[in-house]
Amino acid sequence: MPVVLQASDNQQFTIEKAVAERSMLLKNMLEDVGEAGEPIPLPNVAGSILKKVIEYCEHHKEDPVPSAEEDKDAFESSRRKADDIDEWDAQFIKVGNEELFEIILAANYLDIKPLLDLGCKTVANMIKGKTPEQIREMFNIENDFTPEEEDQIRRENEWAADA
Amino acid sequence: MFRHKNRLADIDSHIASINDTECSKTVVSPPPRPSRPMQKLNHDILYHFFAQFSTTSRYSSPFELDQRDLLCCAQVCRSWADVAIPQLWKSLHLVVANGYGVSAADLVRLIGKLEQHGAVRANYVRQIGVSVCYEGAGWGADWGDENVVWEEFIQRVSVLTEVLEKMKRVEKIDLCFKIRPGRLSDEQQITTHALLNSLLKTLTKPPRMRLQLTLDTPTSLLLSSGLNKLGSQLEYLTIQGGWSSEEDLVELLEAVDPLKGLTMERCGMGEGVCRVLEEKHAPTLEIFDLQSAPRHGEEARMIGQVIENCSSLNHFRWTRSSSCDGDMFYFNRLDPITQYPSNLTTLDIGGMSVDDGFWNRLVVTCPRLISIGCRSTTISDVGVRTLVKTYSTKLKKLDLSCCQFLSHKVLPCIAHHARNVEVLEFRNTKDILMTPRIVTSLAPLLENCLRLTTLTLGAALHYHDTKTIPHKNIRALLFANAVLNRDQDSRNRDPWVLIKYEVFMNVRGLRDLYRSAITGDGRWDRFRGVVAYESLAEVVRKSKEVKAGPSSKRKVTRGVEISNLFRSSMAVSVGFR
Repeated sequence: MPVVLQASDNQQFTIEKAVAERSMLLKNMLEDVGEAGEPIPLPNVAGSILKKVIEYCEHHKEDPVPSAEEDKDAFESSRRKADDIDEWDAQFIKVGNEELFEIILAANYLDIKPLLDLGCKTVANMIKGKTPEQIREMFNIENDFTPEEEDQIRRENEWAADA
Repeated sequence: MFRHKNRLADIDSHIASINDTECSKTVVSPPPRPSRPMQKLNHDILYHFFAQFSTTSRYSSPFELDQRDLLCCAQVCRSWADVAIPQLWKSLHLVVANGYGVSAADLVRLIGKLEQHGAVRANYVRQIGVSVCYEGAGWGADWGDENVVWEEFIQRVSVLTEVLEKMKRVEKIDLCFKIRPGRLSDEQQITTHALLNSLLKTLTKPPRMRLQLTLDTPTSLLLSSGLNKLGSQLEYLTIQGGWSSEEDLVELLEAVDPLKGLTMERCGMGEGVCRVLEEKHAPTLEIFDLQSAPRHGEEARMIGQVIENCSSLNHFRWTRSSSCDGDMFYFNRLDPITQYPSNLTTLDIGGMSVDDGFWNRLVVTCPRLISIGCRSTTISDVGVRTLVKTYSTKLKKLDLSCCQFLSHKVLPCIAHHARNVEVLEFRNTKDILMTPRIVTSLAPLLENCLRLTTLTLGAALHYHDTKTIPHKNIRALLFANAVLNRDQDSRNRDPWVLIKYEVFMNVRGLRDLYRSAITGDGRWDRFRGVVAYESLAEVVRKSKEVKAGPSSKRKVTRGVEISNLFRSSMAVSVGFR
């Protein structure tokens, strides 16, 4: 039975149940309340972003769901493969910064771990090798440190960076 | 003349009516504030970002983050600092050694850092790797007055003990203790073990611990008293026991609680050792790694008995030392593996002489294998087909180095079945490397095995001058590799250094070249990719011609052309830099 999702701007998307179940949030919701046929409201996700998320889920609907054991050690496994992004995924995630962060937020809200990983890997790869100033510029982040504080952070923690 | 003269007249009249107060106001409205999507992200997501940094281990520590990147992130803003600083201190690796590593003054400074802000920073540390290494005179270095060197070393180790005491929340410790005294007196050597015991005492708090211990002197009596106190906290133990006696090993293995992981390198496996292993450790062992262990005679039979009792094993390695390469092991001590259902995921039996029947039995009893090491075994094409057909897409790693009974015919079979394989090794597998078909066979491997990250072909270990490398195809691959590494590596490593040691194909780069050729969009890097791809495609085409060629003279000519093609593609690539 198809599932209807309703974005924050009231756009509706009808998708297969298997696609919806890539999201742990939707999977649990469908298990708990059954398939009522009513649209599922997603007030935190705009229509344009939900469309992208659905595109991702449709492409990956056949992928095996990560086991609980893999989840447990997700930190270790994910950080070892920061640059290991599938070609289709790499094309999919080639979006502007704003859209990228909206996708990450949506993945976090909908609990789609592979998409969250993909978004985070992309951002991590963007951050790698950059200076603090370059990172701020790239993501338009306000520097709320005084120059003294910034220097203090560097001095106090560079031991760990070199260890 | 003016198309909007009425409008301009209105503006003129309006200007006349403006008073001084209004003139001082900013007429131009400020540009809209750019959105800050990053600020919508909560700490959980930031944590996830920082968790993605790849490891850049300088001391082979398995858990080191890219610390320099994290330090930069900590300086971006307060919100990032809150998440990045605990991550930054989460894992530390300390090397205390004579001649290198951290000094006593460094360690004192570290204590100061850990104690700042109410020792909060010390509580961030969750895992720590400690290497305590001493190499005295006669072990490859002459340190002058060894007594002075030893005193300085002892001082550093005692400060290290203080450092470890500060870290109350450490969950995992990797301790490598390598002491090789030179001309020290017996009394000084005993202090070595007193030091280890002192270090071990500070480590009794962590709930989990992995200890890597090197035994180089036969004096485990003092060590075992310290190990006793660790109890079940000690999960993994590595013993490099080239100089240990049977009694030392037995005492050590009896001193520790049942282990989850045990690595024994160059250890004699006498009756006493095997008895302790079989009775005490075998039922709990998940990782059992025997490197350069005896593989024939009575000792091998006893190891076979130990394996029989390893009901929880998921990682097993039994390899021989390189010094006895010609000494093939003909007695099948691996029968226990093929007789009982097993959860093995990793199996490395380099150097074993096993028949095709072994592989048939193995795939039945070990259905979960994802990594198989068959280096220097007697595996045949039939055996490889059995493995790749059975494990198919589950297979992640396959090492077929030095397998002299293999032919190039296995390559298409691997490409067809093992589509998710990540690591493939063919070092010195002569029939595969010494045929022109190796180049042709690369294409299906690259096309089908999309997760392949490492393809090692080997065979050029000692050729410092590429002109002396005997086979033209290998030279071609070397040049291809040089192209790829120059393209990929921004640090501009010298390709000649790389090729001096081995042929290591940069598979990701090579595959990118294939794809670039299909989807080339005119960018510089794409263009370079296409150039190299065309060369590679040409190689494949010419190799096919060689395959059909009537004379050996023609083969040689083609080979030179192939290497020249790669040479020119490298020149083109470098020229654009």
